[in-house]
Amino acid sequence: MVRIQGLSYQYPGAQQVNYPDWEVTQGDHSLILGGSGCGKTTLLHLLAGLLKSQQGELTVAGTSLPSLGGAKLDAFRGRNIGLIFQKPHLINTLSVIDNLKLAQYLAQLPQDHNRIDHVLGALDITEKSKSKVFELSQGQQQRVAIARAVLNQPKVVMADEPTASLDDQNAFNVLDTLEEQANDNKASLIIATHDQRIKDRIKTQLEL
Amino acid sequence: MNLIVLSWNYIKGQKLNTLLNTLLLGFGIAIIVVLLLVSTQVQDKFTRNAQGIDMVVGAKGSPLQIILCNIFHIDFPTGNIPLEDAIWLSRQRLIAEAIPLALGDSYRTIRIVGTNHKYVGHYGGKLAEGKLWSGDLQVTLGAQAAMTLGMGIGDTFSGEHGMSEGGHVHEGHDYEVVGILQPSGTALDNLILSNIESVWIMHEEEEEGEDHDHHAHTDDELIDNPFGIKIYHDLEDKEITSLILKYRGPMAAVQLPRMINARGNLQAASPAFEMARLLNIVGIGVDVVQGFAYLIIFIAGLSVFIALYNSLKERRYDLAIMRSMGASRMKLLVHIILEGMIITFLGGVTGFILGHGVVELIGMMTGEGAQVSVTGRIFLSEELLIIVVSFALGVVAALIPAITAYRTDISKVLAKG
Repeated sequence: MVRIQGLSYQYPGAQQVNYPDWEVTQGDHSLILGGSGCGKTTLLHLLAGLLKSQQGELTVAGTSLPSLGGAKLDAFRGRNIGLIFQKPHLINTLSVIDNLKLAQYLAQLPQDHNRIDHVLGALDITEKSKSKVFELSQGQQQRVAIARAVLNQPKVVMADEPTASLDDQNAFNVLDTLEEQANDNKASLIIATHDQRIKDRIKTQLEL
Repeated sequence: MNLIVLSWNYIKGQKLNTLLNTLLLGFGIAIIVVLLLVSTQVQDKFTRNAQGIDMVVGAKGSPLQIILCNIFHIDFPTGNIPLEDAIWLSRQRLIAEAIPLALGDSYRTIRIVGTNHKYVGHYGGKLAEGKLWSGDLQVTLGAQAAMTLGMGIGDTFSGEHGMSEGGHVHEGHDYEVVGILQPSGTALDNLILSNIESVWIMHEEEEEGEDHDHHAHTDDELIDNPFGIKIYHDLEDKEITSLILKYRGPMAAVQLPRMINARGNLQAASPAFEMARLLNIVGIGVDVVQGFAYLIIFIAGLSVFIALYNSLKERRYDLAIMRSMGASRMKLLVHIILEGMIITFLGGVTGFILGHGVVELIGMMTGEGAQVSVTGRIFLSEELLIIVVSFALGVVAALIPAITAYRTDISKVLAKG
């Protein structure tokens, strides 16, 4: 599902980060662990095609990312990768349902209301579908962000520090939801985090 | 969901900014629309009224005044010319047609013009009802004049001396309406037409008072003239206001003016030349207003640019997230440009409506009776250009913000939050 080999990345004027070879099989969940500044987010961005790799091999969902470029890479990301960040980062001017429609539109998929209703129901935010984003609580916003990430049934769901700013209760709620949604959609879940609370939950780990 | 809906939602989220930019651009475009509509209609009216007239000959004075008075009926006469001179001139071989005009009276500000039937023929006037004047003190009304005065066939009225309201009333001699013309879109519409003799009767009475000798004329005393005017005994004290001329050939334009201006009190005026001169004078004012409008439009464009550019700071995450959801760089570029185009399109529509509304209001305020009336209910092909220009302005204003959006380093933005 995800495979890296001899991958390294160097920001201008910084030291080169070399990543160990690594493989995640379809449907498996895994963590990318490490302290701040060790390159977790960079690796996640490389895997998501948000950063262009400079060296080494990088395969996601059977596609070699370095071989894709420009709009093709964007389209690939839209259909195969669901991204979740520390903050929900929803589009504030749009309603909840329009945020989800936008995800389908930008991934160039047909706008499927049944699918949206299904995902909203699964995340228990159906009654908020017409609400503007700013009317939602932080927890509801996070659920919409997860709904958006899994909506297009991606092969991989990648989350960057999804629990960092949450208390224990909410952190585990989010983690439960992420795992549940990844399983329901048969997606691999990759979480980049330094959050020690998560460590015991997912066994497959890449330590940087 | 599509890019237009997306852009529209962002615009809706910035209500005050959008209002400001729409109004700013709207005002600029409205001024252009007003200038365009008014100048087109005024010029159109001028052209139709001056059509086929090569020269107007009046008394010595301003040639522009002669044109304004005798073709457009908005200024006062420069004086009178001897009928003898008019007859002499109309017999020149360089002249194809000569129509005499005798002005001086009005009725409730509508001018009474003494002339012959050729004047109606020249403007292609057709009767709506009744007939053209045939005897003294009979008048035929222009369509607009009839409507303004609310008069019909058989009605009578007394003329007033001068062109403005409150002139001395010529009592004792009532005009009788014998016909009404169809609307022609020319000067005819707003005139009261009679024969030249009627105008003379009014003024002979004034000048010679009770002593005037009303002896009966016989037909063998008639003096032959090309205008079909009944003139008895002699020409000496007979005068008209002007003579409208059509040339027979191009040589006339070279020879006639010198010939006319050399003769006594006559002054030749060319409608084409005088109108060009007038538009030249007025044009400076129009240019200033137009320049001002373009300045407003430029500032509106700048304002749209600044609004978009500033909003991008808040929207960096939105843009990066959209890329993470599969949007290409190009899509973001189009998204921002669309936003600029929608704002300027709104401004264009506002200006369009505002401009037409203002012109319609001007038309209503100056009244239907004015010689040069305007309406906001016509649409010109040049106005399509306004739509194109407002779209183009949107593209230009949004270009730099759109390129910034295109270049967003999504990894950097997303890594921060």
